[in-house]
Amino acid sequence: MKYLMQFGIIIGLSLVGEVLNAVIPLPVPGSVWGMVLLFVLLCLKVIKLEQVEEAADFLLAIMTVMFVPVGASLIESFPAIKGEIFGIFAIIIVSTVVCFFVTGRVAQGIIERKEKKEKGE
Amino acid sequence: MLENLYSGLFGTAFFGIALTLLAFKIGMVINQKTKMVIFNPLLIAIIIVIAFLCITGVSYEDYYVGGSMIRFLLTPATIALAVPLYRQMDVLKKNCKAIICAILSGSVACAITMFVMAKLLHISDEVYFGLTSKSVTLAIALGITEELGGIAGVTCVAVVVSGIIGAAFVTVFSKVFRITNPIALGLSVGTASHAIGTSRAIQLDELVGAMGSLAIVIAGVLTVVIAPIMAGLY
Repeated sequence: MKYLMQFGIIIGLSLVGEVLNAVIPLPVPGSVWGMVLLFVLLCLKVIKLEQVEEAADFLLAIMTVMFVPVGASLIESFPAIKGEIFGIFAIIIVSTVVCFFVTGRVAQGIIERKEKKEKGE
Repeated sequence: MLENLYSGLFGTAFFGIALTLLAFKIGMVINQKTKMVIFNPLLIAIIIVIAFLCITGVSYEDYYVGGSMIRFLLTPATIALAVPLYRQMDVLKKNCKAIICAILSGSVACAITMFVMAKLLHISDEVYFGLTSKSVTLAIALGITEELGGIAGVTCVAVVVSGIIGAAFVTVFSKVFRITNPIALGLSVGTASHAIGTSRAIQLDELVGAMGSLAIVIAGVLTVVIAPIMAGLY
């Protein structure tokens, strides 16, 4: 019964998320609405961690499998992107490295400055 | 007789579910045997399913009868991401400024790089819309792609490849870019390579892993805002 309730809460939030996605004219997926909502409810202690924890951990553990059907849909879209395959890969690789570099350097810089300040005082 | 066998085998949802689970299991075994990041279980599973459909001639539509049932779980699973985020509230509060600034600048830099390159390489709209969300965890990325009207298959491959790059080169990048602080390294991995990179980072250091999963969610939410803006400009 415990698990049923936990899944019930998450499915309920999925429903609310989809409703928000349909009603609010912003390009925010229903799943993100649901996630933000669950986070807020956890912070406000309306929902306690124990009430969703096991179901959430289970869903996160099996999440990767859920992407297989979507990835396989490439079989349908491949003809449309065939000509651009080189560009697609170039963009993916370069942007990932740029993102890694910028995020890391900014974080490192801020943390180092903070540590120096703390030492100086 | 043969026709009955065909519809019994491929006509129900069980076929798609069974093929997906089997393909993923094979992917996991290969990954564990070789211990190589390039043999990502998800990547192998996708290749196996595509190969199976190509060889047998079973249509993607038939496969998707079952596949859609697995995919359906993606929305609740994305919502579940709120749980690890909540668990790391203390780290989040303590390093709030560094975390937000770093993830925001990383996500923006990534979006601008993609925008400029896509323009230069004359990438079509649907492909670009499928790419914009690529550094984000797949659940959120797919939601964004759907909202923008991009090609979901492109998103999927882009997300997986971004993840594998981060997972494979995290230690190299750490040295070359001199990102030595575990918090900074975790944020980098999570922002650039989401869950796939982070799952590798957890093996290196627990704090790196924790920061990675934090970055996954925050970068995801930020990209929900950034991607449509970039798509509008394209």
